[in-house]
Amino acid sequence: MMLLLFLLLTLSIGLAWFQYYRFSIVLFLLNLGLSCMWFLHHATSKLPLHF
Amino acid sequence: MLDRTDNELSASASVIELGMILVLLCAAFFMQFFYNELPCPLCLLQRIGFLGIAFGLLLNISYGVKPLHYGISMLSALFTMVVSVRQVFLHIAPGSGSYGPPVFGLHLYTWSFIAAAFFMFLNIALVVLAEPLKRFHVYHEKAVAILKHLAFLLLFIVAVANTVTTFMECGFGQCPDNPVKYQYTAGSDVRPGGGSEFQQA
Repeated sequence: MMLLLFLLLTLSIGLAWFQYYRFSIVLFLLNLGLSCMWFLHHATSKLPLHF
Repeated sequence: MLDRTDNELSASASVIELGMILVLLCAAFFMQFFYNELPCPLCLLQRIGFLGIAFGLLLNISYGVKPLHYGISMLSALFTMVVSVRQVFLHIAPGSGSYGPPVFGLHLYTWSFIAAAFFMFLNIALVVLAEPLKRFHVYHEKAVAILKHLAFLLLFIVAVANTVTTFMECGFGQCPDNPVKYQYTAGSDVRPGGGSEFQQA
Protein backbone atom coordinates (compact mmCIF):
# COMPACT_ATOMS: atom_id res chain seq x y z
CA MET A 1 0.00 0.00 0.00
CA MET A 2 2.73 2.45 1.00
CA LEU A 3 4.61 1.58 -2.18
CA LEU A 4 1.49 2.40 -4.22
CA LEU A 5 1.19 5.79 -2.49
CA PHE A 6 4.79 6.68 -3.31
CA LEU A 7 4.39 5.45 -6.88
CA LEU A 8 1.31 7.64 -7.36
CA LEU A 9 3.12 10.63 -5.91
CA THR A 10 6.17 10.11 -8.13
CA LEU A 11 3.89 9.75 -11.14
CA SER A 12 2.08 12.99 -10.23
CA ILE A 13 5.36 14.90 -10.07
CA GLY A 14 6.54 13.37 -13.34
CA LEU A 15 3.27 14.22 -15.11
CA ALA A 16 3.36 17.80 -13.83
CA TRP A 17 6.92 18.08 -15.14
CA PHE A 18 5.80 16.99 -18.60
CA GLN A 19 2.90 19.49 -18.64
CA TYR A 20 0.03 17.07 -17.88
CA TYR A 21 -1.28 19.60 -15.37
CA ARG A 22 -4.83 18.42 -14.68
CA PHE A 23 -4.03 14.74 -14.75
CA SER A 24 -1.19 15.24 -12.26
CA ILE A 25 -3.50 17.13 -9.87
CA VAL A 26 -6.21 14.46 -10.11
CA LEU A 27 -3.62 11.76 -9.46
CA PHE A 28 -2.21 13.70 -6.52
CA LEU A 29 -5.64 14.17 -4.94
CA LEU A 30 -6.29 10.44 -5.38
CA ASN A 31 -2.98 9.80 -3.63
CA LEU A 32 -3.88 12.13 -0.76
CA GLY A 33 -7.31 10.49 -0.40
CA LEU A 34 -5.77 7.02 -0.28
CA SER A 35 -3.18 8.25 2.25
CA CYS A 36 -5.98 9.58 4.48
CA MET A 37 -7.85 6.27 4.20
CA TRP A 38 -4.72 4.31 5.07
CA PHE A 39 -4.06 6.60 8.02
CA LEU A 40 -7.62 6.29 9.35
CA HIS A 41 -7.39 2.52 9.03
CA HIS A 42 -4.07 2.52 10.89
CA ALA A 43 -5.37 4.85 13.59
CA THR A 44 -8.60 2.99 14.27
CA SER A 45 -7.93 -0.67 13.49
CA LYS A 46 -6.44 -1.44 16.90
CA LEU A 47 -8.92 0.52 18.98
CA PRO A 48 -12.28 -0.72 20.24
CA LEU A 49 -14.18 1.98 18.38
CA HIS A 50 -17.74 1.67 17.13
CA PHE A 51 -18.92 4.28 14.67
CA MET B 1 5.36 28.70 -16.85
CA LEU B 2 6.88 30.91 -14.27
CA ASP B 3 7.42 33.83 -16.63
CA ARG B 4 3.64 34.09 -16.99
CA THR B 5 2.98 34.51 -13.29
CA ASP B 6 1.95 37.91 -12.06
CA ASN B 7 3.11 37.30 -8.52
CA GLU B 8 6.85 37.02 -8.63
CA LEU B 9 7.64 37.32 -4.95
CA SER B 10 5.16 34.57 -4.04
CA ALA B 11 6.74 32.32 -6.66
CA SER B 12 10.19 33.08 -5.27
CA ALA B 13 8.93 32.31 -1.77
CA SER B 14 7.71 28.97 -3.14
CA VAL B 15 11.22 28.24 -4.44
CA ILE B 16 12.70 28.92 -0.99
CA GLU B 17 10.01 26.84 0.74
CA LEU B 18 10.59 24.01 -1.71
CA GLY B 19 14.30 24.12 -0.94
CA MET B 20 13.58 23.86 2.77
CA ILE B 21 11.38 20.79 2.23
CA LEU B 22 14.05 19.14 0.08
CA VAL B 23 16.58 19.71 2.88
CA LEU B 24 14.11 18.18 5.36
CA LEU B 25 13.55 15.10 3.22
CA CYS B 26 17.30 14.69 2.65
CA ALA B 27 17.82 14.93 6.42
CA ALA B 28 15.30 12.09 6.83
CA PHE B 29 17.33 10.04 4.35
CA PHE B 30 20.50 10.90 6.25
CA MET B 31 18.93 9.56 9.47
CA GLN B 32 17.76 6.47 7.62
CA PHE B 33 21.08 5.52 6.07
CA PHE B 34 23.70 6.88 8.46
CA TYR B 35 21.91 6.08 11.74
CA ASN B 36 20.10 2.99 10.41
CA GLU B 37 16.74 4.40 11.43
CA LEU B 38 14.18 2.68 9.25
CA PRO B 39 11.04 4.79 8.79
CA CYS B 40 7.85 3.43 10.36
CA PRO B 41 4.53 3.54 8.42
CA LEU B 42 3.56 6.84 10.06
CA CYS B 43 7.00 8.27 9.25
CA LEU B 44 6.47 7.29 5.60
CA LEU B 45 3.07 8.98 5.63
CA GLN B 46 4.72 12.13 6.94
CA ARG B 47 7.20 11.99 4.07
CA ILE B 48 4.26 11.69 1.66
CA GLY B 49 2.77 14.77 3.32
CA PHE B 50 5.97 16.78 2.90
CA LEU B 51 6.28 15.68 -0.72
CA GLY B 52 2.67 16.85 -1.15
CA ILE B 53 3.51 20.28 0.27
CA ALA B 54 6.44 20.44 -2.14
CA PHE B 55 4.21 19.34 -5.04
CA GLY B 56 1.85 22.31 -4.51
CA LEU B 57 4.80 24.70 -4.38
CA LEU B 58 6.26 23.14 -7.51
CA LEU B 59 2.98 23.83 -9.33
CA ASN B 60 3.24 27.44 -8.10
CA ILE B 61 6.70 27.70 -9.61
CA SER B 62 5.83 26.01 -12.91
CA TYR B 63 2.25 27.04 -13.65
CA GLY B 64 1.97 30.35 -11.83
CA VAL B 65 0.75 31.20 -8.34
CA LYS B 66 -2.85 30.00 -7.89
CA PRO B 67 -5.07 29.35 -4.86
CA LEU B 68 -5.46 25.71 -6.00
CA HIS B 69 -1.71 25.15 -5.63
CA TYR B 70 -1.67 26.68 -2.17
CA GLY B 71 -4.72 24.54 -1.36
CA ILE B 72 -2.80 21.39 -2.31
CA SER B 73 0.13 22.48 -0.14
CA MET B 74 -2.07 23.35 2.82
CA LEU B 75 -4.08 20.11 2.60
CA SER B 76 -0.81 18.18 2.59
CA ALA B 77 0.51 20.22 5.52
CA LEU B 78 -2.69 19.53 7.44
CA PHE B 79 -2.38 15.82 6.66
CA THR B 80 1.25 15.81 7.86
CA MET B 81 0.28 17.61 11.06
CA VAL B 82 -2.49 15.09 11.81
CA VAL B 83 -0.23 12.09 11.17
CA SER B 84 2.67 13.47 13.21
CA VAL B 85 0.47 14.52 16.12
CA ARG B 86 -0.99 11.00 16.12
CA GLN B 87 2.56 9.64 16.46
CA VAL B 88 3.37 12.17 19.18
CA PHE B 89 0.29 11.02 21.12
CA LEU B 90 1.30 7.36 20.71
CA HIS B 91 4.48 8.10 22.65
CA ILE B 92 3.46 10.98 24.88
CA ALA B 93 2.58 8.96 27.99
CA PRO B 94 5.48 8.15 30.35
CA GLY B 95 6.75 4.63 29.70
CA SER B 96 5.29 4.45 26.22
CA GLY B 97 8.76 4.59 24.66
CA SER B 98 9.70 6.48 21.55
CA TYR B 99 10.59 5.89 17.93
CA GLY B 100 14.12 6.79 16.93
CA PRO B 101 16.65 8.96 18.71
CA PRO B 102 15.91 12.60 19.63
CA VAL B 103 17.42 15.34 17.48
CA PHE B 104 18.10 18.58 19.39
CA GLY B 105 15.95 17.25 22.22
CA LEU B 106 12.88 16.40 20.16
CA HIS B 107 11.97 13.27 18.22
CA LEU B 108 11.66 13.41 14.45
CA TYR B 109 7.85 13.14 14.52
CA THR B 110 7.70 16.18 16.82
CA TRP B 111 9.97 18.10 14.45
CA SER B 112 7.74 16.92 11.64
CA PHE B 113 4.70 18.45 13.35
CA ILE B 114 6.53 21.73 13.96
CA ALA B 115 7.75 21.87 10.34
CA ALA B 116 4.31 21.07 8.90
CA ALA B 117 2.71 23.75 11.10
CA PHE B 118 5.38 26.22 9.96
CA PHE B 119 4.71 25.51 6.28
CA MET B 120 0.97 25.72 6.88
CA PHE B 121 1.24 29.20 8.43
CA LEU B 122 3.77 30.32 5.83
CA ASN B 123 1.38 29.33 3.04
CA ILE B 124 -1.53 31.05 4.78
CA ALA B 125 0.59 34.20 5.07
CA LEU B 126 1.51 34.02 1.37
CA VAL B 127 -2.15 33.64 0.37
CA VAL B 128 -3.23 36.51 2.63
CA LEU B 129 -0.42 38.74 1.34
CA ALA B 130 -0.82 37.72 -2.31
CA GLU B 131 -2.13 41.10 -3.45
CA PRO B 132 0.48 43.31 -1.70
CA LEU B 133 3.29 41.00 -2.85
CA LYS B 134 2.36 41.56 -6.50
CA ARG B 135 4.11 44.93 -6.38
CA PHE B 136 7.56 43.39 -6.02
CA HIS B 137 9.76 42.19 -8.86
CA VAL B 138 12.56 40.07 -7.62
CA TYR B 139 13.86 37.55 -10.10
CA HIS B 140 15.44 37.02 -13.42
CA GLU B 141 13.32 35.03 -15.86
CA LYS B 142 16.11 32.88 -17.27
CA ALA B 143 17.45 32.02 -13.83
CA VAL B 144 14.02 30.96 -12.66
CA ALA B 145 13.38 28.89 -15.79
CA ILE B 146 16.52 26.90 -14.93
CA LEU B 147 15.52 26.79 -11.29
CA LYS B 148 12.11 25.39 -12.22
CA HIS B 149 13.58 22.38 -14.01
CA LEU B 150 16.13 21.92 -11.24
CA ALA B 151 13.32 21.90 -8.65
CA PHE B 152 11.35 19.34 -10.69
CA LEU B 153 14.45 17.19 -11.09
CA LEU B 154 15.38 17.27 -7.39
CA LEU B 155 11.86 16.58 -6.17
CA PHE B 156 11.46 13.78 -8.70
CA ILE B 157 14.74 12.21 -7.54
CA VAL B 158 13.67 12.44 -3.89
CA ALA B 159 10.26 10.90 -4.71
CA VAL B 160 11.87 8.06 -6.69
CA ALA B 161 14.41 7.48 -3.90
CA ASN B 162 11.55 7.27 -1.38
CA THR B 163 9.70 4.81 -3.61
CA VAL B 164 12.78 2.61 -3.94
CA THR B 165 13.58 2.60 -0.21
CA THR B 166 9.92 1.92 0.62
CA PHE B 167 10.05 -1.06 -1.71
CA MET B 168 13.30 -2.21 -0.06
CA GLU B 169 11.71 -1.89 3.37
CA CYS B 170 8.15 -3.12 2.81
CA GLY B 171 8.13 -4.92 -0.53
CA PHE B 172 4.66 -5.14 -2.04
CA GLY B 173 2.94 -5.83 1.27
CA GLN B 174 2.15 -3.92 4.42
CA CYS B 175 5.03 -2.15 6.13
CA PRO B 176 5.83 -3.55 9.58
CA ASP B 177 4.88 -1.30 12.53
CA ASN B 178 8.38 -1.46 13.93
CA PRO B 179 10.76 -2.22 11.05
CA VAL B 180 14.23 -3.50 11.95
CA LYS B 181 15.52 -4.67 8.59
CA TYR B 182 15.10 -4.20 4.87
CA GLN B 183 13.24 -6.98 3.11
CA TYR B 184 15.21 -6.65 -0.12
CA THR B 185 18.85 -6.25 0.87
CA ALA B 186 21.66 -8.68 1.56
CA GLY B 187 22.13 -7.37 5.12
CA SER B 188 20.49 -8.70 8.25
CA ASP B 189 19.13 -6.49 11.06
CA VAL B 190 20.25 -2.97 10.32
CA ARG B 191 19.44 -1.62 13.75
CA PRO B 192 21.30 -3.54 16.43
CA GLY B 193 18.89 -4.33 19.23
CA GLY B 194 16.05 -2.90 17.17
CA GLY B 195 12.70 -3.06 18.84
CA SER B 196 14.00 -3.12 22.39
CA GLU B 197 13.45 0.55 23.04
CA PHE B 198 11.02 1.25 20.28
CA GLN B 199 7.30 0.83 20.40
CA GLN B 200 4.61 0.57 17.82
CA ALA B 201 4.56 3.54 15.48
